[in-house]
Amino acid sequence: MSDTGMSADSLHLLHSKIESEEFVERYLRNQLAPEECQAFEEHFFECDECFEKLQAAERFAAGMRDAAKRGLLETQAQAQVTAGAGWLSWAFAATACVALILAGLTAWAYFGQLPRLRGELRQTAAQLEKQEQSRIQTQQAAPTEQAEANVPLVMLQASRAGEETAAIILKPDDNRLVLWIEPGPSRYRDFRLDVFSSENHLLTSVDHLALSGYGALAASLPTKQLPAGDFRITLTGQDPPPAALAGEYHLKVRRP
Amino acid sequence: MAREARCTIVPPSSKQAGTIPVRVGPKVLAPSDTDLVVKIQTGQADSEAVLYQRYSAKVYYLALRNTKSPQDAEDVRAETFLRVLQAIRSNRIQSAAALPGFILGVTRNVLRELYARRLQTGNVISPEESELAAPSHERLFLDQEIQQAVDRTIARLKPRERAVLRMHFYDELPTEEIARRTAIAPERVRLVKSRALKHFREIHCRLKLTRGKNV
Repeated sequence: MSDTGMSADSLHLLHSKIESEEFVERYLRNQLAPEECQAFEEHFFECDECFEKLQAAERFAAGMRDAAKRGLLETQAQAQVTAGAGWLSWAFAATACVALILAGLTAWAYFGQLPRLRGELRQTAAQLEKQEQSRIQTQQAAPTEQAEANVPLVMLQASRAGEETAAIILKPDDNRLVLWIEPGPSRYRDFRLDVFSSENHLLTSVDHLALSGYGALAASLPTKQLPAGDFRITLTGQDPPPAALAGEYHLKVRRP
Repeated sequence: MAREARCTIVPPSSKQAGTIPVRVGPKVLAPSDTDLVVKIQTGQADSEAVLYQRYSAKVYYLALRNTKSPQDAEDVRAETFLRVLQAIRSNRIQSAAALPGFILGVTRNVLRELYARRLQTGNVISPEESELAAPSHERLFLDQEIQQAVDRTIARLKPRERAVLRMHFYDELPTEEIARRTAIAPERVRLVKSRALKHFREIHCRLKLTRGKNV
């Protein structure tokens, strides 16, 4: 090799360049520039070591392509999955954790918070019922009714297109119905509630409704004034004046 | 100066033709190119055989790569050595030390003349076109021994390493793209390739040695 006019140092340098710049691989793939290709051919004509490497690489490349065609390297998808599985599994684990946390929060809200709120709602309704009874007793001085333990209650939401109308089934022994309304932020301290039939006749009204600590209004109505059917309920802000409509609600009453 | 004989791999077609003996064996000091030129000029025919043995695989490889035809490659090799030996005998070599470059130059000339003749007959693939084309000559480098060595090499690979090699050799993806797809560093991709090639060379050399013993 060294009798070709190329010094040992320059040959070594060329070898390092051939290695670092992947000359063999690029030559096989026809990716060398013409002058690089010519220089490499001149080199391997002088250098048995590089020619041997080139031949081996050529044979290996041919063999590997042939092996791929024969299906011996058909682990690409698996390997990609395995390779991707590294971060995919982490992503899946993270997603699963988030889903579990959300599910836990939902369960906590559904099984923990909602029953508590419903309980508070019923408690408030019962208190209202008691207050109403005592007021009636005081006014009429004739205590004829007692607070119902499980007074029916319905939550009303402002009427919006496409939303299902609130409905309640009143049993024959239900004497009163509590309407629970959350009017939202309002300048009024005092509200009036009017109940209209489907023919737009005023059936009953409740005055001086005040927002509770939950920001809700609770109105107790005698069920005898609510036959089966559809009702329109209006909520009007009274104080401070001027009075104005604060919300309109719809209620469907069913009786077995 | 002396040359060191080594395990030289030559295309199967050459071996089948019986023109190139496979040199496998202990380290032997071989004559330098300068010695060979002098000996050929003094009429030592065995030195011509040594010269042929030393460069014929390279000439054939280059010819095969360019012509993509074993027959044409054989013709190019024969014509090249005829001209080289004539030049040496008639003392038309300027520098014996530059013999490899001279042989390469003659090979290129013979190839150009082959293209020129083909161009005249309208049956030509120019060197540029053949350079741009995929290395279709590679099938000429395949034989049972290669397949066996490759199969054994693959058997030692992990699935991800197989995927890397498939992407490199079959899908012909660049190293960086392979690294991206397999989520490993480009250096690691290069390492997988070089290790596999090293294993292949070892196995192939062993197979050749075994075959040499059996023959």
